[in-house]
Amino acid sequence: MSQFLSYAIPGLPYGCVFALLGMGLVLTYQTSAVFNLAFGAQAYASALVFYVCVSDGWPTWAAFLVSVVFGAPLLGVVIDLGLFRFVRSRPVLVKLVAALGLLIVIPAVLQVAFGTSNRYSPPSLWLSPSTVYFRVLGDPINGGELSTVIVTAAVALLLSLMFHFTQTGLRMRAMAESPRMVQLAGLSAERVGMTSWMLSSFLAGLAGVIIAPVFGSLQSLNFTQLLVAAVAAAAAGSLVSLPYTFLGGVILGILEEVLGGYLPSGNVLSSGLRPGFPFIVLLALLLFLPGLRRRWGRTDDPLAACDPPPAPIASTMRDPALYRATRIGTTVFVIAFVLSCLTWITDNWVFTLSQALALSIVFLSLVLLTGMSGQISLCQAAFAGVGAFTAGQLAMHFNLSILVGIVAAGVVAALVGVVVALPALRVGGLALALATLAFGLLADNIGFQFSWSLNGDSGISLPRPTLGPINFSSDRSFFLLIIVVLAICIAIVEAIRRGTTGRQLAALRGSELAAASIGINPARTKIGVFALSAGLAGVGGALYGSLDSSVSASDFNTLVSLVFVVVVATVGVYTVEGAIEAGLAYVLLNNLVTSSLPSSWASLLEIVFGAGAVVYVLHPEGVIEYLKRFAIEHLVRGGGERAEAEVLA
Amino acid sequence: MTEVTSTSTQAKETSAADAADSTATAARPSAGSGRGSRPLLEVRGVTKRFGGIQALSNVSLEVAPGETVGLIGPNGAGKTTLFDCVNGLMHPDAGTVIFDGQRIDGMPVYRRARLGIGRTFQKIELFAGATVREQLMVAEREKRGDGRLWKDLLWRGAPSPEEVDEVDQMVKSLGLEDVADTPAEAISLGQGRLVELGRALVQRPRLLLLDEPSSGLDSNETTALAAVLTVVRRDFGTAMLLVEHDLDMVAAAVTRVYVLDFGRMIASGPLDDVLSDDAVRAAYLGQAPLAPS
Repeated sequence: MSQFLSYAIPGLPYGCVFALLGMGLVLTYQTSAVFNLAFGAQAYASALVFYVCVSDGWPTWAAFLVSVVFGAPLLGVVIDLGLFRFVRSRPVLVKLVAALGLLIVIPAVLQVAFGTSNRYSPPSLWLSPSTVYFRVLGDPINGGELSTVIVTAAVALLLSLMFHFTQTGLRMRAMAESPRMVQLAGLSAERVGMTSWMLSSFLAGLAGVIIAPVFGSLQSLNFTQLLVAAVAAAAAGSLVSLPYTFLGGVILGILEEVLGGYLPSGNVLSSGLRPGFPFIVLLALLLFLPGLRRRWGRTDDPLAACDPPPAPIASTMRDPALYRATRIGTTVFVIAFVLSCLTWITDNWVFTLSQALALSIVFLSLVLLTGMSGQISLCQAAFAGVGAFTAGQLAMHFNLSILVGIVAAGVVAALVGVVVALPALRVGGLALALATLAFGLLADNIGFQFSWSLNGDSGISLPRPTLGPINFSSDRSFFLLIIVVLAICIAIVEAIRRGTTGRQLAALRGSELAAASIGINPARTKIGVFALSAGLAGVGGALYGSLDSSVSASDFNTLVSLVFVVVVATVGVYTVEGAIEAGLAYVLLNNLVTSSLPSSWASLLEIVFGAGAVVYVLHPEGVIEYLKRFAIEHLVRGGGERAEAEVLA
Repeated sequence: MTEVTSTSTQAKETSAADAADSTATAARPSAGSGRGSRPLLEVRGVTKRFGGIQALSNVSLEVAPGETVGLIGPNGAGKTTLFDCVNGLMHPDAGTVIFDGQRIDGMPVYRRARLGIGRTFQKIELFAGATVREQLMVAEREKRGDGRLWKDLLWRGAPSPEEVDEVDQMVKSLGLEDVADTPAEAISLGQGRLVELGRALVQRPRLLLLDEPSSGLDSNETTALAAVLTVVRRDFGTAMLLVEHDLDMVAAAVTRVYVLDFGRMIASGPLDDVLSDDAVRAAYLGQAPLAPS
């Protein structure tokens, strides 16, 4: 018992931080219908500002005022004013991409502002962690732990008093029902929303500053991982109840430490299982908490139908003459492009373009999944990783050709996709996004660390394939192989779009209720498409690995997955061209940043695509798709038809 | 789920329902219409609770093949809940639903749809983003049931000329030619209800559940809708269960009605008889005499 307690008591402060973050998530989800994935990044921002102020010699209280009391709510106001107030009644995808954009932009901007140097041993807020204040059953309680518990308890108490006994609390609860109804009652929904953003951002900032000393150094990824624990806590409260969220967070923190205490140390499983624990809890909650499923099924405002329908995508607006011209133009361009790559373009560029096209296959999997089926996966990079290690290990241990390996990669990734999707697909939207996020982080922490998979950061090697007399070891021949595989993948996606499955997916996206009522099996259709999408990602991953000759876990980590979603959504997730344009944009910009700009600009790529995700909120069809539509309306069709298009839009 | 409630529990109806039943027996399709003995849809003793609220309490009804039956009652009586239990969006806490001799409670929605149960929704449910023609084409393809992922992958998933033809005809017979290529968001509520109806009809259902089809429509649109329903009944022989507040429309369409109140079936029989029934008047229509004009 005393051993149990000696593990459990240090877990309490962790639990408190999870609880703080979880309560903040519930608060914003309730009042603005946004599941703020950038919450961890907000916590990181406050922790970083606090660190910088203290290391500049400021007194702790002044640093706290700037970073948490004023800074954090200010950040909340900025992201509410600049972004989230516009997305409330938008589809889940739009909200998620907006939040992901922030999750990527905030740390990147901070890196540019404060530099990328390592920041070791973050300072503590209040009581010193090195002083032991008293002992519980012989276990020392230090200042850090004590202050965390006291601050969290005080905040939770104040929050619950505010919610139940003040007018602001009542208004926030009304916002949870419908902001339009709040407006109709004569209140400013914007103001109530902003108050809740300030409050939740304050909680994020506070949690960030409190938890920072626990990490050896300040890194944004630590805070992103913290988010999953917070999501699990919020899930324990079914996304509505602050007390249950609080309790969920505290219990989770304690269990995590107890688990860490009892597990043997020294192998991959035990070192990965502890950080992986919140993800497992989240998956279990998704599976077994029926109230949560209902809550996550509900995504919109009862008055959301007041919103105008989205604009039509450019490809549906082409008139026949324009369509023919585009088709001929595209064909000529593609042939010229391939011939150029095979002849006069330098090897370096052919390699870069090959990378872009291999990534396009991974991005194509998102076009199929997100654009056509309306589902969101935050672990496409993990599926690509599964594909890469399948092909690599088969080549290494069974001497199998990479070409066979690529097919096997698709099959294995598809099977893994089924396993991931089965529990979450019944719930849909946000739950699937979170389940895939949890899976991606589990793969990072455990799956990809084994020597039989990607062997952690040491990586594995993948040979270039040969096919009978044809050897694909040169960059140009491999480029040709990638073109062929890409063409096959495009044909698959287009075949599905034009076939029955595409119609079923469009129906399911429109109304799952009505789709089932005409005989469509929602679960089977969605799982089929999810598996196919995972398979495509696996094929893309295997090709990408074979092109680079080696891959490691860091090539396919969760951050990469998140960037993938943001890039494709920004460029255009509804069309096949969108995937290719996204692949080219990503690799070419990356090349530009790493080769031509000073190292302090390394995070420019994240800022560009993160900001692109924010623009995406205004143009959910994707930036390039929007530009095409703009061009068709304004340059080609002229005024009269433009008016007609606007009426349609 | 609780086991089947047998006919013995069914007998424990209230006295009001008993009185109504006795007036109804003469109009029972099995006795009166001569369409054979087995009803197409049988709902037996269905009960559904939401927390403390008893939404349906031991409700039973029958619809014969090709028959049009009305289901009326005040708002909140449980009509849509009963539809949801028949079509599978909800599972009853007790009781059975039998369709064409086969027990279907417990089946998922899509399987019931494939058996031939179509429905429209009180709060209209169209496929957002799809045009009118596309909405019907999805349903048409589902009817054939031969759409498979592998067929799509072999580029054999495009609709056949017959399917295109079938959809065109349905668009025409509903008078929706002008909006055939308009997205669902851009059409009026009345047209939307017709599209919903067409989407169900394209599948040639054996039973059609219509949930307040005239709600939100003006009188012209209601007349047009009633005309379509008449044609459907005449040409397709589709059985219909109609929830409707517009008693004129009910009177024109149905052979008999069931009356629900607070989740209980309080009367059934020909509309005129039911409307003059004391229990119905007291519970639903108020004390003033009321009859369709």
